[in-house]
Amino acid sequence: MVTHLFMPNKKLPQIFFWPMLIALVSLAGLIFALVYDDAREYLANAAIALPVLVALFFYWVQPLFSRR
Amino acid sequence: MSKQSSIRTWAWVHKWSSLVCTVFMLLLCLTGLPLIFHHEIGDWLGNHIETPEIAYQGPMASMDAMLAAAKARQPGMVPLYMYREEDEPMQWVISMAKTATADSGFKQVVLDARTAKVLGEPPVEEGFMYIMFKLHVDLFAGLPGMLFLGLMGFLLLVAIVSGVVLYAPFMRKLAFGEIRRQRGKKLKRLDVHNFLGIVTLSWALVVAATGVINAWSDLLVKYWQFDQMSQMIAPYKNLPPPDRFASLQASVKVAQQTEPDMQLGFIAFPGTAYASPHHYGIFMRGDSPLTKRLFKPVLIDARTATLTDSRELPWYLVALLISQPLHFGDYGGMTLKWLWAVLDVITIVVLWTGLMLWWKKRHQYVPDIRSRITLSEAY
Repeated sequence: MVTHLFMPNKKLPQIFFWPMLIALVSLAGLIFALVYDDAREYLANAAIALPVLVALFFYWVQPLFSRR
Repeated sequence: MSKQSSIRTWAWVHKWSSLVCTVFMLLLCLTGLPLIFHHEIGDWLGNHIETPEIAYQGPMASMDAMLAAAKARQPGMVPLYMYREEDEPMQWVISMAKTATADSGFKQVVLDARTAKVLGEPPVEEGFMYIMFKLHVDLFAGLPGMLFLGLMGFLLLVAIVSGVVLYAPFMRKLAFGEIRRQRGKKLKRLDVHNFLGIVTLSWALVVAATGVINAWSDLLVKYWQFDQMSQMIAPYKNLPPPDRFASLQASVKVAQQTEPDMQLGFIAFPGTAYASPHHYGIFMRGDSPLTKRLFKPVLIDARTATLTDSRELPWYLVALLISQPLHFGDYGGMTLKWLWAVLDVITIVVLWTGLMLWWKKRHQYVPDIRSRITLSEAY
């Protein structure tokens, strides 16, 4: 059964909230890593890693929880 | 334009901009992967020349002594550039060729900055990494190859923007990050394509845009020569090339006195793209994480070792210099290199799933765009 056909349509802000947040955080990370050479660089690397962590979570981690 | 036809237009733009550039983007992602680790691979292949550990308390060797040692090592060749790698501060590298305007036949001589002894000559224009580099930069086709890849990069930017526009109609009834694994390979492939594409949006945009800027680097340098260098060397316009050269060490000293708050970046020898036939182009740089990538040229008369001119780089070369680390991912140590590699692999997955979505649906019945969006299927 195609359950999502009965879901209400999401609005643009709902669709783009998480993608834009991830995009802004990783963009800030890319710039901060270029400008700072101190402890803030670790924070910048974490921000750049955010898309990778999100991808790992939704692709591998979340399905494990859903199965349980 | 109605919403339906607008979506149809964006779908057409996304399909064709992606299709044209995908094969080249796959090539760039695959060749870019080893280039992220070119230092480490160079070490592994034994191409890296180590600085010997010696008990040395004296001053650094003179630039003239190092230049003489390089010339003695490669007689009949002229020096082009003199620079040092960030991770080897006790070395200077002098690149050489038969003429100052040569575009092949390069040699590199690595020298000990303390003793001016030649440490070795790493292989240039050969080996696996050279093939990767040339495929990535110009497809072995010189400037036309660079500009062609720049055009492909621009198409990728169009594909990314149109992909973001199309993300909305396909996600109206799906949660963020939802991958429909139970509903067949096709929908799973579509969801993976949409999801990985949208989470890596910033990185892909930045790397694609900086790649396009880098593709114009040769033309930007040529424009700088025409725009700025020609003004700086105007008094030398009709003079014959110098018959003798002043001390390089003295020239560097004048540059350092001209820009006392900056460090020596690299030296362009007379006749090369970053100097004139009458000048040493001595490029000074800052010491902060950002300003160490931005150079200020100081032109020193190669005959008299006196200052001719020094001016800030124009905005387009500043943009080029800032775009380089953002494209290479070499500005944050090993952690950033690994992140760059993982994001590169994710981009390969996005490109591959996009290509497969198109390939698999070529002979299928294609319903109208409204039905496709309702069914959240891939087109």
